[in-house]
Amino acid sequence: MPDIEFVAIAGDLSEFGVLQEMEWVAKELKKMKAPYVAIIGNHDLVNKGPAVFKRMFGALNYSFIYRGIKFVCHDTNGREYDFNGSIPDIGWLAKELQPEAGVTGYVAISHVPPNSEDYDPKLVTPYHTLFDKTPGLLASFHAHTHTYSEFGYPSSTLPYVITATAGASEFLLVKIINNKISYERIFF
Amino acid sequence: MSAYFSRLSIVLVFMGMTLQSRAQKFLIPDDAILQYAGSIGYLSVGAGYELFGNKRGNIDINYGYVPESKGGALHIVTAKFAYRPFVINISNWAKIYPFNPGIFIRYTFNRNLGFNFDTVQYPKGYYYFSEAARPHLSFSNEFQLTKGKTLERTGLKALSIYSEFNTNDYYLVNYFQNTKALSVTDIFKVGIGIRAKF
Repeated sequence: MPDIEFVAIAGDLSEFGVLQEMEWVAKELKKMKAPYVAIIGNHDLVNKGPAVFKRMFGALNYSFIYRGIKFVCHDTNGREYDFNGSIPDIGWLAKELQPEAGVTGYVAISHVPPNSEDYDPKLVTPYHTLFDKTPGLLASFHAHTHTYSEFGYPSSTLPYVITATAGASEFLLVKIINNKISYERIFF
Repeated sequence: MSAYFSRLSIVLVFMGMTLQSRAQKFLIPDDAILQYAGSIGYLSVGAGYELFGNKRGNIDINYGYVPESKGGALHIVTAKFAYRPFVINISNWAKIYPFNPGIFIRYTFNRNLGFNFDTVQYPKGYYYFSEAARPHLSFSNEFQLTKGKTLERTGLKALSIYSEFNTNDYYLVNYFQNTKALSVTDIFKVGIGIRAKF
């Protein structure tokens, strides 16, 4: 697909969190023309997945600014931490979503959506409350359920968008033009 | 499960008492094994037992180690079963067993790897696999010296060199989910080893 600036993989690069799988995946991803970023999924956290993921794809929470938009990629796989109240890291998110020079908009990307039973129930309200009060947050993208859906909270108009699994031959094409976001389901 | 094991151990103790001499003989391994790689440790050592009247079957118990510099440190215990259905007598002092199918289970002792997932933390069947116990399919080929001066000097009955190819549940699932990207050769790992019979 031409004119793709970058690809974000919203978690579960592996099924079992083992090195061999991530090497296979990395080999396939390398074939794309566009650069990619990877977000940690729950399957990437089993076995010695955390160590493998960090070494091959980087941190579990990180952000980057691309053409004025700050992409905040983070770990929401609360069940893997036995719902210990630390994942997602609300404090880290709050810091990342503070207004800063040169940033006109924000996009959140994580694996488990906050309406999932695999998301730490204690952190649903703090999470979407933080998102609600973040000016310029355009959308929160997720995966995990394997099928496309969209939801929101009554307190704001922020869309939470779940993309389907690549195994279902579908991905989401996201466009941000003049700080307006649009997304389209692409079937292949 | 534990009731089963206690009953089994009682039976074993009973067998041990009545058939002590036979049991002792039975427990002495027939083979000593040294293997490099092959999914059971960077280096592993083991004891092998011949099975069946024709001695074509084998049960091997191996201990393997992966040093820190190779992705460890890991301690691995493996139980193997294999059978040698074919034999080629290349001379009166050497044989080739060209294709020996087998299965093995390896257990990795590591604080990050559990035998099963916590039943409180996860709903039933959330993850269907084990982290620590890994079932494998294997096939090996073996070149065996059965006579000769070298053997006579060592006092061994036979000395083999073998290569063993294996895959496991993880790799098979990956293969069947990604047949376009992966080939059968991608999911097989190989190890080489020597087996001494005494």
